[in-house]
Amino acid sequence: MAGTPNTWIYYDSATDTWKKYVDTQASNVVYSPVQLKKVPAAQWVVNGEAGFYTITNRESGLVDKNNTYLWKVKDAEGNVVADTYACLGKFANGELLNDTIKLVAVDPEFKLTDGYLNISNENALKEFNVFNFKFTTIAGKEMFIGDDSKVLKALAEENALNFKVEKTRLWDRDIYDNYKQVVYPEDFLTYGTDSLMRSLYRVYLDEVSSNATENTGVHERTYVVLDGGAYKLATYRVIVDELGNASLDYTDQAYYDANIDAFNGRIGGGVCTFYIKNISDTANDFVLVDYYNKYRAFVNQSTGVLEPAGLKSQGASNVYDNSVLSFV
Amino acid sequence: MDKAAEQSWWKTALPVGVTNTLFGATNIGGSADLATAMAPFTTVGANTTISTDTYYPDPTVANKTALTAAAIKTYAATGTASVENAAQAAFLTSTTATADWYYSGIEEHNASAAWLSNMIKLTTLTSSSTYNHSEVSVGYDANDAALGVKGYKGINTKITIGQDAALNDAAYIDGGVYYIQNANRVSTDLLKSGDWRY
Repeated sequence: MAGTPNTWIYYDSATDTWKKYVDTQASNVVYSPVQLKKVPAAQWVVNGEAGFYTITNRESGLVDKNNTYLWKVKDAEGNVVADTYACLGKFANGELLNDTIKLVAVDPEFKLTDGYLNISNENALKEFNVFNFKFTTIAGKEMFIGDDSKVLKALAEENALNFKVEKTRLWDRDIYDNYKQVVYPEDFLTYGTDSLMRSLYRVYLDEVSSNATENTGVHERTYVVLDGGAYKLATYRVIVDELGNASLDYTDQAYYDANIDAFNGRIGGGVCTFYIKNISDTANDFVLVDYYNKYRAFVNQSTGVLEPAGLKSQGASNVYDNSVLSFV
Repeated sequence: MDKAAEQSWWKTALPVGVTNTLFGATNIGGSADLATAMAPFTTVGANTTISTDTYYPDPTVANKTALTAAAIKTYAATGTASVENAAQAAFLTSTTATADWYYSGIEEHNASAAWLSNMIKLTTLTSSSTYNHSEVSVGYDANDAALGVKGYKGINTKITIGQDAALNDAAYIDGGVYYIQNANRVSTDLLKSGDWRY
């Protein structure tokens, strides 16, 4: 499975604009005999005209053909083969191998937000949007992400934790923050191809004491954090505004100063901010892509602990299978 | 290219002051010892590969003293009776401009029969993808015959891709988002025909 490229968004004070950084080294191209339809890496944006086309991966931004001449392909009888095109290829083993591809249109109902969990803050707050993270591949038993002494671990079903997600603003309300803009990462499109919009989320435990009508104000929230090579739980005091945005309690200066770095999670570890990425054609199968730390969560097959792993699948040790969590 | 320039080019194209295993001599080129430099053309066996770079004039080569007419005539007088060297001699001693001499990169050089002989190697495209490429044929024509009188052994031609024909077959694809399936007919170990690209 093609990896999720490292991308992050930063404020460029020199130009007073927000910019996106893309680590192009992180993307790769793979082939699968199975057609995955929901995964954005499987979708390619075709632009161009009159024979010359540019084909860009919707997720990685990898340019497969750059203003390349494509021609129609004919079969042995000289009939044009539908939706099939060829372009000059590369030399391999002493032969010039042209590349022939078949294009299959993505469902016209397709949206730019497809491929990643897309849930509004309003909906995220609602009581029914509580998830268990099911993980099924240990010994064929249904395992769920649960709490083992504040360490997240694949455990039997009765230990399943109830999670909620909150949409994360890239820059939180920050008393030291001079920036006027409030930015949601979904505002940032991908690589000039306008092909991918995705949101970032924090994941926290459902607050049994709260209810949907009293969302605002000061809350204790227990978030998924990265700490010491494992995903764990840690509690922070946050203020939730009427739009559902959570910020670290900025009314208590000492508390704020002591915790803001960890809460932002931008210095390695701390509260995690995830892209929640579709990984199969099953609607609720996701991979948690740890945005700031540039990992994906995966279940260690020896210990069951939810740990960080490279964005790309690297051999048998951290295959994507072990990263698939069903939100149920 | 005028005569003087060609002579100067030919001289500087030969490596200076280095042992050249092909020519089997040192300190050739850039010197007046043109006969020594030229001799290998009659002695090196067939199909000797000569690097293209050997033939390009190198402005960094030092010692670019001009060939003297005497040196050229000495060479011409001592050249063998082979067609190649007669042609070389004729070229080097002629006084008229030889504007229709061409030189382009040579990848392979049949040294025993070569004097600026171009060899074009046409490689058949993969047998499994015979559709959609123009067959290329290169013929020996009157122009080549005229050059041949001057000892030119190659075929002077220009190869262009049949753009008109190709454009008729250009793809017209609506912009949008697509899945890509590998439609190459031949599978490789890594890439199977029909696989989906991610």
